Parts: sequence; C-alpha cells; structure tokens
Amino acid sequence: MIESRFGSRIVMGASIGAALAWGLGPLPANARPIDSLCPGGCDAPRDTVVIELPVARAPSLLALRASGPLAAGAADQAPPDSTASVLRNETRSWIAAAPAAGAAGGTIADAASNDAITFSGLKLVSVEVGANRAASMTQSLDLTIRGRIAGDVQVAASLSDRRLPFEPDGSSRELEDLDNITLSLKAPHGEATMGDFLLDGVPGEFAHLTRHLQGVQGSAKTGQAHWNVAAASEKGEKRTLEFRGEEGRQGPYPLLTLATGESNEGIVAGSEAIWLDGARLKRGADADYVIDYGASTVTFTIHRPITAQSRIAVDFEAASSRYRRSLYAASTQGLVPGRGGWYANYLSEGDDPSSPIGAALTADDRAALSALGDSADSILPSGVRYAGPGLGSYDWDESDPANPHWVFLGSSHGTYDVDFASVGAGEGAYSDTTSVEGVRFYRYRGVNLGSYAPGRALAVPSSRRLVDVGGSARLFGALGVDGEVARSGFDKNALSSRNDGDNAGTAARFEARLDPRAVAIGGLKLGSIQAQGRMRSRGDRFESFDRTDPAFEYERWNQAPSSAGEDRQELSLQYTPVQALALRGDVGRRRVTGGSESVRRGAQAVLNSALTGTLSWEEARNATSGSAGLRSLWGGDLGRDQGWFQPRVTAKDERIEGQDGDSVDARWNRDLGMILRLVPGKALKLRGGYARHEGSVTDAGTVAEDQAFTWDGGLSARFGSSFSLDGGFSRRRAESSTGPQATNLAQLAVQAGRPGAPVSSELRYDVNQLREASLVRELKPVGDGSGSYDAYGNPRLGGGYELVTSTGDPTTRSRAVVQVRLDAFPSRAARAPGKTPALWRGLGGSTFLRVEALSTLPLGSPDQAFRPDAYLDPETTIRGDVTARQTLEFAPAGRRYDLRGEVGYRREQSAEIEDLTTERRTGDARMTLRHPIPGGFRGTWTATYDRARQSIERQDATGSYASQMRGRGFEGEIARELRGFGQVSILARQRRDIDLTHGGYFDLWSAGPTARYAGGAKLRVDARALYGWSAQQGVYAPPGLYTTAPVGGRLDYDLLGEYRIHDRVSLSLNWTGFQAPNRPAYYTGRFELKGSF
Amino acid sequence: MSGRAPAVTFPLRSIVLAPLLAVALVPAAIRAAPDVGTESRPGPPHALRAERVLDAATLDRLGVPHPTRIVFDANHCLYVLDAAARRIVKLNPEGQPLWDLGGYGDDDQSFSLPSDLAIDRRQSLLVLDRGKNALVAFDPAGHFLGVRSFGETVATETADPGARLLVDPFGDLWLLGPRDRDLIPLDDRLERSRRSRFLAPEASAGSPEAAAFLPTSGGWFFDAGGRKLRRFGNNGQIASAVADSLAPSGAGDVAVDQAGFLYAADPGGQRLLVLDDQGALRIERALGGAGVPWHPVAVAVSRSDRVAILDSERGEIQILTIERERVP
Repeated sequence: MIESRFGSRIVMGASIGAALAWGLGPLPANARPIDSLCPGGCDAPRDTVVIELPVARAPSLLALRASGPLAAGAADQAPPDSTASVLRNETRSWIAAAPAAGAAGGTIADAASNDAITFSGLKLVSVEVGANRAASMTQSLDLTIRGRIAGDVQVAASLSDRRLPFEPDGSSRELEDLDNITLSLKAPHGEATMGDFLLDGVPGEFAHLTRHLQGVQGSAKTGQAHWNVAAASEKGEKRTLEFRGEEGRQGPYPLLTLATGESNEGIVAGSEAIWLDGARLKRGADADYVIDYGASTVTFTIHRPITAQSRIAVDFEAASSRYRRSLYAASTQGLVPGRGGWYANYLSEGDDPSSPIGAALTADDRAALSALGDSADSILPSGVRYAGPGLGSYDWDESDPANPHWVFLGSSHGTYDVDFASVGAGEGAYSDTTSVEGVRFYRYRGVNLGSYAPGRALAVPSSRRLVDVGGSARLFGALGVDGEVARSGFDKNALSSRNDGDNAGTAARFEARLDPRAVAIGGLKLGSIQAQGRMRSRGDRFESFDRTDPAFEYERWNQAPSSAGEDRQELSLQYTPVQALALRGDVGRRRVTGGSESVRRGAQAVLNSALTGTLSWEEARNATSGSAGLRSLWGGDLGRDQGWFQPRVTAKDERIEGQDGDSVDARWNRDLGMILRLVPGKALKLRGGYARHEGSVTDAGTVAEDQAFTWDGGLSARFGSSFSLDGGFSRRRAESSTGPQATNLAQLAVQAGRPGAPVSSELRYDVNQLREASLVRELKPVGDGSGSYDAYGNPRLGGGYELVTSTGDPTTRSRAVVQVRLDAFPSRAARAPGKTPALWRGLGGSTFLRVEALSTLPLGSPDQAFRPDAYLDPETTIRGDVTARQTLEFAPAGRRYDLRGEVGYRREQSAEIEDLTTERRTGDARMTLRHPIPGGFRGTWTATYDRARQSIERQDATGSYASQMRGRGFEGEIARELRGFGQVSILARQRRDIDLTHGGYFDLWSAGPTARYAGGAKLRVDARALYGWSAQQGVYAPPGLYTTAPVGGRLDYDLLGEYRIHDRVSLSLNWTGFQAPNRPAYYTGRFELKGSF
Repeated sequence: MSGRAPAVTFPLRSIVLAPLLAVALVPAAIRAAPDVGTESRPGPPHALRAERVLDAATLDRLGVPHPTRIVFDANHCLYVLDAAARRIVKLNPEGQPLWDLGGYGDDDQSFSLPSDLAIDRRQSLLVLDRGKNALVAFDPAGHFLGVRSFGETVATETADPGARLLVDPFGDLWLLGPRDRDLIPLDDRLERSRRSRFLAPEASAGSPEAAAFLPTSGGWFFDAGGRKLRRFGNNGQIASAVADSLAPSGAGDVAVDQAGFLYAADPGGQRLLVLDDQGALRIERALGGAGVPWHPVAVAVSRSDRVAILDSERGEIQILTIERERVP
C-alpha cells in the first residue's frame, strides 16, 4: 500500500498473472481466482485491484477498481478490457449496491447480491382529550420500502396514511384514500410505478401527449417489443393558447378563459410550457417569465421584452374545476432490427360524470344533461333551495314589484339558499361581493347591470379517445418510410347519446426520407444530398390530445387559425456542398376544410463557419373561393459566435396580403437589428443592441403606419462564487395610429459574498411594465346603520358605506422592486486552531431595505429611475411600501452574555380606493440582553417599543382620518440550571398599548414559573404556568379592532413530557389549557406513542 | 388597573382520567409498535471509496454552480441547493437530474434567500427561506405543497444565516438556532414547542453551527465557538467533547449514517472524519491539500451507504461509498 500526502492508498489485490490476463488474452483453462490482498482491511472480491489516488488538478481522490475475469460477478460487469473505471460521470447507480439496514453485516458487494429489503418509517398512535370534545384516537404510518425481491426485481415504495382516523372495525381505509403512496417495481424486463408520474413520449405524431398524472403505470419488454400501460387521474385539463403580445405590456396575460360552470382553480404548478417567437422559455424572476398559478396569469421579465409582433404560445394544464378526470393509456412499440419498427396506441381521457367537483349531480341534473346533446355548453337549473326560516341565507324581496329580487341576509338568517352563476358582464342582474366576515354573497344591481344570475351552472362532462397505429421501414439502405393512421372519438357530452354520430374522426400521414447521400461526378466529391416528402390528412372531426403542429403554423401558409381538417403535402430537398454551407428548398400545399388552399415555397442557406448565419425566403399563395392572398418573407442574419468580439446583424421583411381570416387587407413589417456581444473572458460579458421596426396596415384603402426603436444592453460579471453582477435594460419607443407607446425595463442583481460567509450582500433592482384592466374601487354611501365600512374605508359594521368594485380600462403601470441586504457576522469566519477569537468578532448585524411600488410613472426610464421620491409619490403611486430592518448583535463566541438589538420601519401607501389616499407608518425596536447572575443564575431582559400612525384622506371632502398607536413592553426571565436535574426559571412580562388618538390604553401583565426536569437519559418534562391579567383604561379603539379583548385574570399552563421506552420508541404527553373567571375553562391533552424503524 | 384574580379550578376529572386512559393503552400500543429490538445494524465503516464526482461543468449545467447544502431522501435521491442561484436540483441515484425548482422571485414557489434543506418523514422537501422567513414544502415529485411562515417565537432565529433545519428519527422538525445556541423543537405551526432550552448546560453549547440526530438516541453537534464536536442525549444533556484534533475548523457540517456513525466535514482541514458513537476516529479521509484544495462545507449521508460532500467555492460534489466491516 502506498500512502500519499493526501492519505490516499493503492491496494493491489490481484495476482500479476490475473492482471496480465486482462490485457494479454484468454485465461488458461486451469486459471483460478486469487485472493485479493487488502492491507487496509478492504473486503474487495477476490481477483480485484482497487486503486485510490489523488490526481493532479483533479478535485478529489479517484477510486479505480477492476475485477479480474474470475472475480465474483465480473462477467456481469464491465467488458474484460475495461480494467479501470474512471468514476467521473459514470452512470452506475448508487442504489445498486444498497445494503440492507436489517441485514447482518457484509460488504456493499455482498449486500448487493442479497435479496434484501430495507424498511424504514414511523408509526404513531395518539389519544387526544379536551374540554367540550370527545376523546379521539388517531394513528399514522409512514413507511418506506426499498430493496430487492426475487433476484433482479427492485422495489421502492413509500406510504403514508397520517392523520387518518381508525375505522370503526379497526381496518384501514381503501388504498385510494391514503394521503400519499408511491410504489415502484423494477425488473430487467419491466417496471411498474404507482404515484405521481409524468406521461410523455407516447410514439406517433397524432398520439403525442404530455400529462402530469397520479395513478399507476407499467412497462414491460418482450423480445424486441415494449409495452406500456397507464391508468391515472389527471390533475388538470390540457389547454393550448396562442396569442400576440401587446406593445408595452410585459403582463399579466391571462391564460384561462373560463367556460360556464368553471371557476378559476388555477393552473397545475409546473405544467406550463411557454414559447416566445418559437423559443422555449424558462420560469423565474431572473429568467424569462413569472407565472401566478392561482390567478392563471403570466408576466414576462426584462429578458423577454414583449412587442406587438411577439408570438406567444402556452401549453398548460388547468386545474380541474368541473369533474375529476381520468386517463388510460396503452401503447406498444417494437423494432425489427435493420428494417424498421412499429407502434400502436390507445388513449382515453375525460371527465368522470360520477365525480363532479363540488355538489353531486342530481337526477334532474343528469336528465337535463342527457337531453342536452352536444348543442350547448351548459344549462342553468333554478339553483334555489328552500331551507326553512332562519336556516338559509337569502329571502325573496318583492318590495319593488317591478324588480323583485333575492336579498342576502347572512348565513342562517334567511329562508332560502340560492346559487348564482356567472353569465358574463352586463348579462346578469347581480354582482358578487364579500362581507366583512369573508363570506361571498350576491347583491341585486338591476337588469343587465351585473354579471351573475340566480341558478346553478352545470358543466358538461366530455371524453375523448384515440387509436393510433404506425410503423416505419427502411428500403434500399438509404430510404426510410414512415406511416401512421389514427382514429379519434370526441364526445362533448358524455352523459348524452344525442349528436354522438359526429364524434369520430380520422387522420393519416405518410413520410419518406432519403438519408444524406454523397454526390460525386467522376470521383469529384460534390457534397451530399438529402430529401424528405410528407403527406398528411386530418379529418374535420379528428381531435388529437395535444398540439400536433408548432405554434402559429397557420401563418406560414397565410391561412386562418383552424382546428378543422386539412390535407397537406410537403417536399424538401437539402444540398450540402461543404460542411460549412447547407442549401435547402421546400414546396408544399395545404388545403383546409372550408375551401382555403395554399401553396408554399421556400429556400434557405445556412452558413456555419467562422461566420454563422442564415438567408431565407419563403412565399405562400392562398386562395379561397375567388379571393387570393400572398405572404412573402425575406430574412437573414449574419454574425460571429466565437471570440471576444461577437457582432450580429438581423433583417426581416414580411408582406402579407389577403390572409384568410384577417380583418385587414394587407400588412407589412420590416425589422432590422444589430447586436454586439463582447466577451473579454469567462467572467465578463457585455451586450448591446439596437433594433428598428417599420410596418403598415392597409385596410379599405387606408394605410396606417407604425414604427418602433429599441435599445437594450446588458452586463454579466462573475468572480467565483463570491461576486456576481447581472444587469440589463431595454427601452422601446413605438409610434402607431393609436399614439406613442414607451417601454422602459431595467434589472440589476448584484451579489457579493458567498451565502453563509461572514459578510454577504445583495442588491436587486427590477422594473417591469404591466398593463391590466384597472379595478376601480369606490366607497358608496348606503345610509347610516348599514354598510360594512366607514367613510375612510375602515371595516366597520353599520358604518354607512359599502365598497363597490368595478373593472375600468386597461392602464399601463410600472412595478418596481428595490432590495438591499447586508449580512455581516465576523464570528462565522474561520479561526486559527486554539486561538481565542477577538471580542470584536462577536459583533454582527443584518441590514435589509426593500421598496416596492406599483406606479403610473415609468420608473424604468432614466429620468425617473434615479428619483427616490418617484417611487412612493402620493400622486402616482397606486400601491407601495418601504420596509427597513436593522439588527445588531454582540455575541462573543464562548461567552455567556450577549446583547441584541433590532429596529424596523415600514411605510405603506395605497390609493387603490377612488378618492382615498391611505398611508401607514410603523416603527418598532427591540433590545435583548442575556447575562449571568451570581449564584448560577442567568438573566434575560427584553424591552420593546413600537409606534404606528395611519392617515386617510378623502380627496372629495375636507375630512380626514388619523390614528396613532404606541406600545411598549418589558420581559424578564431569571433562570438557573440545576445540575443533573434540569432548569427552573421565573418569567415576567408587561405590555401597554396606548391609543394616542382617543387617549385610552390597554395593559397586560403576566408572570409565572417554568421548569424543566431531565431524569436520566430517558425522561424529559417541561412545565409552565403563566398567570396574567389585563385591564383597559379610557377609550381604546385602534383601527381594525372589531372585538374587545376580555379583561381580567387568566391562567395559562402547559405540560410537555417525553419518555423513551426504547431507543426507537417514545411516549409523550402534551397538556395545555387556560382558566379565566366568567369564561369556560379550556384544556386539551395529547398522548402520543411513536416508534421509528 | 382593574381585574381580579381568577378562581382557578383545574379540570381534575380529565387530568386524572386521561393519563389513566393513556397508561391503559400503553401496553397495547407498545405491542402494536414495530418490533425493532432485534434489528441488526450494519457494520462499522472502514473505507470510503470515491464513486462519482459531479464536477463544476456538470453542476453549472444543472443550474447549481455553487451548491451550498445537500440532503438525501429515503429513496437515495440527492437534493442540491445553490443558495445564490436560488435553485434546487433533485438527482436520482444514477446522478441524473429529475427536476429542478426555485429561482429568485416573490411567488410561492420561488425563493428569496434559501438557506437550508431537510426531508421530512413523508419524503417531502422542506426549504428554509430566511428571506421570506418561511418554510416552503414540495412533494417528492417537485410539486409545490405550501409555504408557511415561521412563528414569532423563532422568527429571529430563522432569519439568521446560520439557522439549520433538522428532522429527528420520529419525524419531528427542529431548528438549530445560532442565536439561542440551542436546538429548538417546532410544532405544527412552526412555533417553538417548548419554552425551556433543550441543550443543557447552556455553557457547554457554545455556538452550535451544525447538528445531526442519531437514529437511536440523541445526536451530535458542532460547536464552532469552541471548535468541538459534542454529543447530546435524548433529553438534551450535553456530554463531553471529542478530542480537539478531530473537530472541524471553519464552518463544518455533520451527518450520521443509519448505524450511528458520525461524518464530520472539516473545511479547514480539507478532510472528512468518520467517528463512532463514542467519538473514536474510524476513518480520516483527506480530500485536498495546498496544491489542490478541497474544502467540504456540507455533508449528507444516505441509507444506501453513500456520503455526499460538497465544496461550494470549487463547485463540486463527491459521492463516496461507505464500505463496512462484517458484523459477526
């Protein structure tokens, strides 16, 4: 064994003869394995060499391990010539050698060869008792299983039924009721998974789909054939969306258009795929876009400026809001080596009518849906249910005979329960609102003045199926053919057999490809050629599961977007004379249902040398019943992608006339751009660009021109993990017939210091531009004694005002966030061994400042960006706040005292309610001192102070509202550790909140003992009792106080004990409660037995 | 001041009856609890063999160029956090990326200042985000489960860059609070579940910077102030420290394996130490030197006997195989 200065070793365990045998040829017939020599105690299999050594400039020790041909299992491992395996980036699984936790000893190699299963988890049984409640017992099991069963079959499972109560007969619930279960079985010829999985990669163009599922899937391999099946419930419903951007609007763009009966349940997190101008984007505030899954909106970051020419495509799964959905899939595919392959798929997905989300379907609902057929999306039954006097929420008001209507009286105050359904703005007579208690109810506004109508929306359950068969073959060596036929069935109403005759549709395609073939004349090499022909036919009623074409495919053909049928033929030819140049030409014809036919031609040259670029031309001529159109596109780019100087120019000229479905006669766009990237080194990158757009729209002889100019720039610098800087800006000025439009975006992120280092800091500055319909909120007087708010928007029952919200026109706003953080903790720095750190290293602190503003000012433009007062300007700020916190501490390492202080400031400003400006400023401070006291005691003293001021001004009146609050508190604790016993302490608190506006105050005192007992290594008991009393003096009415806190005495107590019955079994008791005069006592107790294994 | 002392009447009937009920149930519950008494443990480790290196280029490609924390789940998948990039990558046992999440942002699924990771008993990923002062949870498939703010009683601790999350063998969540110099048990509301200290005596706690629970009894913590590795019992009582020569220098990290052996990353000494439950050195694995520095700042151990260590500055993760001796 050789010891290096890094402590590495080389273990030579095999005989020279065996070692030579690996490299020099077959073993003699009488060869026998030789015991490995392991000076360090290594348990390597016999006939094995193990070498561990550091490699210069490599990060670590490398272990090189090679088994001789006679070593156990060597035949199943690397080929005989791979005498060493360099472990960097190797793909061997690290679970393959998983040892069995419960197995008796053995090396990794031994354990790997055993059929052993590892169980781990936690079993919990608990009993809960409490005041005014019955005792209950609960149990839970968290179990993880991993290992090998039956030789090569690996199992991995986790199961949890936590918080499920025992069933009366003691049995567990059904499997589907378990909170969480995953199961995976893997064998050489197949595997099965139960739990969450992503279904993707189904073969065939028409059967393409991607789904996030929860259920079971399995796969098997027999000979050259693979079989896959899946049965699962879907988390959402797949949607696709294509739309153009809006000039100057980075977002939010709504993704969901709700059908009747649907509520916005949001988007399945992580299910989205977003493309901008054909490029797939990445989520993140410092990447390409941010998405609000709850509100179902997407907003693009500065890295992706949005213009009117931007083409946005989104695939996502909308969370199910109508019915639970299920999906079944079965597919098989096989290979005929050297000749081709085949595949077949069956897919089925749809709503489960027996499992609506929300209220179950009644017999009447089913009958109504059954009679509906496919002709409508929804129906509206009455939605009114008689509940009985004092049991419902609404009453029928006929005080105005001309407009009788439903009146909300509050829960359990009316006679009826009424459902309301959204019918669209201006189509209903009711609008929705929320009461102070947070209950959503509906208020009568007048005929066609609201968006809701009494009634219950019924969603129509739909289902779809698809059978798909395809195959490919190779002919004459270089020719490949590929064919596919699919038949789909789409039932818009699975509960009705009416109109089902038109559910089925068919699609087919055929492709032929000529692989690259060398071209030579008389021995003179002239490059290579390849070709592809393609025919595709989709029936009118064919419905695929996911998109089968790229986004905005119809534009390529100058036709209208359509999901109807089509016939398409395309032929392309590519000639590559030299490696650096490729020439490509293509022609095609597409006919869509409705009579539109388009013929398309194109040519493209691709340069790939020191300079890279493309030059392309395409033209599509379309015709529909006598009218004709033309789209022609010239484009190109040329630049350099390597070296420190990387310029690039781009140009595009697009002319569109007579596009099917277009509302105007002609469009013209020309874009020119120049980009310069400077890359002096890996650590520094600079980017700048200029782009110019010109365009026009011609309609009925009128020409509307537009133009836009864009400047953008960026900087990226990195120095190890200690410093990074990323910044960029984008400015765009657009002129169109609707007027000028400016876009100003900026972003800067600076990080200095590694996370967790003694000193780390961060600066973030981000300005984005939003445009959305403004929500106009107004306080409307409704008379004294009614309403839920007062004149200044403070929630107050009977305050005389109601808050009415309506939707206004879209307005452009900028959202700015500035954030600074500095952490300095010198005590985290490495110290020399044996050296006592200097006292100053105990100093530390954290600084945080954040400003967030939603403003009508363009905060990203240079003239506003550097004006501090612009960010919370009362005139222009819709909503904004400043938060600042500073902490300071002096906590010398190894000392028994420390001092910590913290101050904070917050200012909030809001002008979200019409004619009302609200400002709130709060400040707080806290100081804590801990220090030893003679006699083995320890004191902890905390003082707090806070102050809040709120002012509200009505711009339509002279009145204003102001409130001032001040609070102070003290807390002291004296504790003493009792060696070998535990700890006792006395805690005392006092706090006074003063209402400076009204002159009153509220006092709270409390005091009591805390004790901890540690009995041996198994028992620990913590007990606390706190006796407190409160009192109010004068008028104490801070804003937002609806219920007065009870005054008087009160005793709180809790007891927490834990006893270790065994190393892995614990019994605990938790008892807590309070006692107060004139109030019922409250207590709750919990006994818990836990066992881990 | 007004008010009077309350007439205190304890719920005597329940206080008496409930423990009686519990005591009556204990024998049955113990019988129902898993039989763990006869389980054999894996043998002691005697070698660490390098199995895989996720080098700087690989980590850069995964979006975590400078990882700061790592943790294994029960299925032997490795979670890697890059606090600066605000990104977490889950790698399968083959080292291939399964999914990644995070990124900087204000929304629930993005991070402000993620500082630590933990895996709970349901194999959910818990992320301590000290910028949001909240715990963000994801299921094993990477789906967002929820975000919950830390309670007021621990808010100061979780805002500290040195705060660490721990899950004990019973699945309970703990917080290593560098300011309180204590291990703080958390309840379901992410509040401090006990008022009194856990680690005692406090004078021996020093400045805990990393801690790990043993699978059976108590655990270990690294006192950065005194540069000592210390053992604590089930009741929080601190035992004597191991020899100073075995304690990490600098911001070290500790983890334990299923057999109860301690793995201590020593960034200053550029080594990984393996100690038994008595603090005796079993293995000292050198990782670098003056010419080729390698400073391990985090360590994680999987149940499949793999150890992951990372050097954040270098941007590398090593996966080592634990080789064990036979147990008779």
